[in-house]
Amino acid sequence: MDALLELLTTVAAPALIAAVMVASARQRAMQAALLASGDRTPGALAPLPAAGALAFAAAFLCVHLALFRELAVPSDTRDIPFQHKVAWVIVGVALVTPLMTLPLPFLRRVGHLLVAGVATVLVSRFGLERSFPDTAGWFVRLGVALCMYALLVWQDRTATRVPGMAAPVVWSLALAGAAVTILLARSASEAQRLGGMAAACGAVALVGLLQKRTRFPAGAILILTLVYAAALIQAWVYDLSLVAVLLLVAAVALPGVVMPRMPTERRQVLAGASLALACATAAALWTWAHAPAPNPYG
Amino acid sequence: MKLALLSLVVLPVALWSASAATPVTTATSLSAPAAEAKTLTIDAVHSTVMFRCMHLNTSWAYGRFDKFSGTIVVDGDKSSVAIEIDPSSVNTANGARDEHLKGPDFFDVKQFPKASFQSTKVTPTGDKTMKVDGNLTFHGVTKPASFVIEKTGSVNDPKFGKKHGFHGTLTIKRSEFGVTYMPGGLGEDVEITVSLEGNEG
Repeated sequence: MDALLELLTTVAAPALIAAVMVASARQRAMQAALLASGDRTPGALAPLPAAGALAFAAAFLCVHLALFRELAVPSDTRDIPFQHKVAWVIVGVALVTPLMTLPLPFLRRVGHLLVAGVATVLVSRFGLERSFPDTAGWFVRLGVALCMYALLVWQDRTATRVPGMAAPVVWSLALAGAAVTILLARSASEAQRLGGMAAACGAVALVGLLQKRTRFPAGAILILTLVYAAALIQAWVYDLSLVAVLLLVAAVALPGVVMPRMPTERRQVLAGASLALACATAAALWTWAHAPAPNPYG
Repeated sequence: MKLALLSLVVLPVALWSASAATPVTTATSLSAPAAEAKTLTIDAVHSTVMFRCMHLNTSWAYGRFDKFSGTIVVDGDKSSVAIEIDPSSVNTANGARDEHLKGPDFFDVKQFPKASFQSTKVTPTGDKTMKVDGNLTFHGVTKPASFVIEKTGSVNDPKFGKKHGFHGTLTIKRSEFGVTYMPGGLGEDVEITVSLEGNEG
């Protein structure tokens, strides 16, 4: 019963939340689906701004609360763990997403830059400040934040150029692969968090399958990149090797090189999914092969 | 000549008896203010900080921390206890489980490399017992905690010096310290037992 409840709260619920929120963000598309007589033009199927950030932030919080039963608040007598700090960054990003809906494109770009920049710096700092506290550590944190930001920009570009279900499928596979890899590095809660987000991406991919011209909604990439990078940072600070980290970064980054060159959506999905799966599997195998000893603990 | 023979016999015996002197058990009351406050340094080799927690609501799983340090001041109601523990020294006799406990699911030792107990008030409750109130810091959370310490003995050993022994147990709820993972697998209550040997001077 406990296992079933855990499956429902950490996998099914975030998937449902993300799918429903992404689908309902397209009001006219929703109307089309429900009444079978709505407007099915590309413009009508464009998602509302910031829907992605809200949908994936809600899915993330659902998994987080199911696993940790609280969103810990820092105080004089409480220094909260990195996982809770990341959750607060996600909440903050979701709350300021109206910046991404500003009417002027320039302001919208500045808003996005600001939110993404601050969030990546915070995640990098929170994750590495204890392990790299000195001046040299400052450069490490800055370097990681810049890499995270570059990945974010690259993913945003890919998701904009590749409509439909390709980008959510790639993210779903990469997240699932990272979950398995991190589980092998013995962080079960982080693996479950990534598993929940993989399920959410899978559900959004299904929405993309039903509505061909759907794009990954705005802000989704920001949340996913932050969650993914935070998990990799935490796992790297503990046991995960740099090789596995780089392979998992490649799992989300490399499909962006290949997918836009493919002529059809079907081929985009196939090429992206194959690359993501190959890199994530390689990361999991590398981690398994380099585990210190067979694990007798269960 | 007789004197020389006698000294040959007596001297080795005297030397032997000095090296193997019987430890003198001393009595130090915890309730009465000491004439002189005693500051004891915890001897980690002869002390233990251990814990137990229910596994699958079935049996007790035991573990210990191998690295810790601290001091105990014995001075009536001005006594104090301070212990600092290195959570990364957790030892449950299973390497894989220890690694899991050190990770972010439980102790998160990279984020929280120290745990500690600092007393705020010590109330003697008898010649051999005292109630210790203080703050327990674990996993980044500081909360009030109190437990009863029993004095288990004292010795004035010619080789090891003056030593005093203490024993106490406190129970905490792990969720109150933000360790909430696996609520079905591991019990909520964690019983911590300290058996401390303090060196005088």
